[in-house]
Amino acid sequence: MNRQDFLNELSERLADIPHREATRVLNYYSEAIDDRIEDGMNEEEAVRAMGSADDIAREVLGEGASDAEETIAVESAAPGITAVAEPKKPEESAGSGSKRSFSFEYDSSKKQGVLKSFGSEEAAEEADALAEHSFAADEVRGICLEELSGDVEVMTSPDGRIRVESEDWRGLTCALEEDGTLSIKRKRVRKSGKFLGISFDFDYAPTGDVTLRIPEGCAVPVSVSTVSGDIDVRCPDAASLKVSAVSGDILVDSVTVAEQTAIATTSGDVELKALATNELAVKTTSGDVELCDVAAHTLDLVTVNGDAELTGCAADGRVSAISTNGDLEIGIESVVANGHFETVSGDLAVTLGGNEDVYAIRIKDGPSPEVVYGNPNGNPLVLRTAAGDVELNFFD
Amino acid sequence: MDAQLRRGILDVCVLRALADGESYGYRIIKDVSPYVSISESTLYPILKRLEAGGLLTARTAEHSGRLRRYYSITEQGRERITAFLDEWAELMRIYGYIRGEAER
Repeated sequence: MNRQDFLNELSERLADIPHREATRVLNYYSEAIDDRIEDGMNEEEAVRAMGSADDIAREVLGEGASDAEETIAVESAAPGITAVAEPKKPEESAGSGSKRSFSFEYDSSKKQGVLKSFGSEEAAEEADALAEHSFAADEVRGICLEELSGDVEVMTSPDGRIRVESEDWRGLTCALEEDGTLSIKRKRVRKSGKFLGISFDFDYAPTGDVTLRIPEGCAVPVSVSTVSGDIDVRCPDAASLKVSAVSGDILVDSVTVAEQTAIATTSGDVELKALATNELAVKTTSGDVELCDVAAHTLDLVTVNGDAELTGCAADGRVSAISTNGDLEIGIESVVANGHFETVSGDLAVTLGGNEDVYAIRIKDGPSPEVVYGNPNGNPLVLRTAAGDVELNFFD
Repeated sequence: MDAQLRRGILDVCVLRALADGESYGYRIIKDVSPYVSISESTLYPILKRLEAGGLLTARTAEHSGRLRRYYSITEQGRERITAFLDEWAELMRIYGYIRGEAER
């Protein structure tokens, strides 16, 4: 076969993989053939040295796991016959507790079935960890990073690729799902094997930190959750942002989010700086909330025991801040279309853009009767507390 | 040789082939194959994986009227070689001990 026929055949076999990756593979093999020819081989020999296009395509599709994979051809007269021979029984390699997985494919045109073995689960896990963890931004429609016990940083990528970095890849998987969601998870790892005749077998949860890098201008939905780890988000853009932690702190700094931003913690603190978004929702149980230089259309803030402090913020739509025991110190420089601020025992100090003529104000302070003033046709503004102090001021 | 062991060794052999300077696909194969058998189709996923892991970087340059991809090792790649050698020094010590026992 000559060089061009080989490359054509390989190109056909690679029809199902992304175009860019197929081009990369074709360039690689075309270079390899040319280098062999330059080294003194004739074209035919150089092409033969590459092996079959089928094997290459399989290797590319299997990516990484391929060299641990054994392929056994099973001759068969008719379809429907599954594994005729089992040269390697699963039990043979299961001595240390690892399992082999098999799959069987029947190719009717060749009247031949292929039995594939993908090595031990452990080898597959290792292969997953080693598999590529950088993705072309245009292939990713969303990012979901969940249930990690380490810290998470979301930063800017130096190039056009979305990158996942960690010093500890045990149990960590990055998978681009069919809908384009890049799913990043860390599973508990079972380590079993035999070393110099001694079997070992144990379970553990790796806790390494993870850095996610997103290129500038790549605005996809981003969702990050941790248990005890802190989360820092410093990537420039996102379509939507969902960040949650149980005991970890959350920091969002200099981020533009096109749609919703949702932040939630149980005991962790929340700090949002220089954030621009459409709808912002923040929920904590005992964590404190600090918003500085945040611009949103609507703002919805709920805490149980945590305090909240807003400075230099802007929100022109509906703004609601509710706390049970926390103090609310709210500074919003824009005129608010609809404001609702409420505590049970916490103090309320609210300063808004505009003045008394812009709002229809209703204040309910403890057992005393509701005070109504301002412009009856103005934007509704309600301040309510059962046992706290109330203070309302205007910037203008 | 065990598939996993072979994979680990091949990674480090490819990095070693780059340790003395930039190289390209065919030359890496020629440098490594006297020690471990390696083909173009085995090398491709290794290069891809090592690049993704930041152990090597790649660039495309012209060579006699066509394009060739050149690979260079990174600091991280060199660290992988050192880590590999350290591990094996330890393993060889155990090997020596076991041999001593077996010959008795």
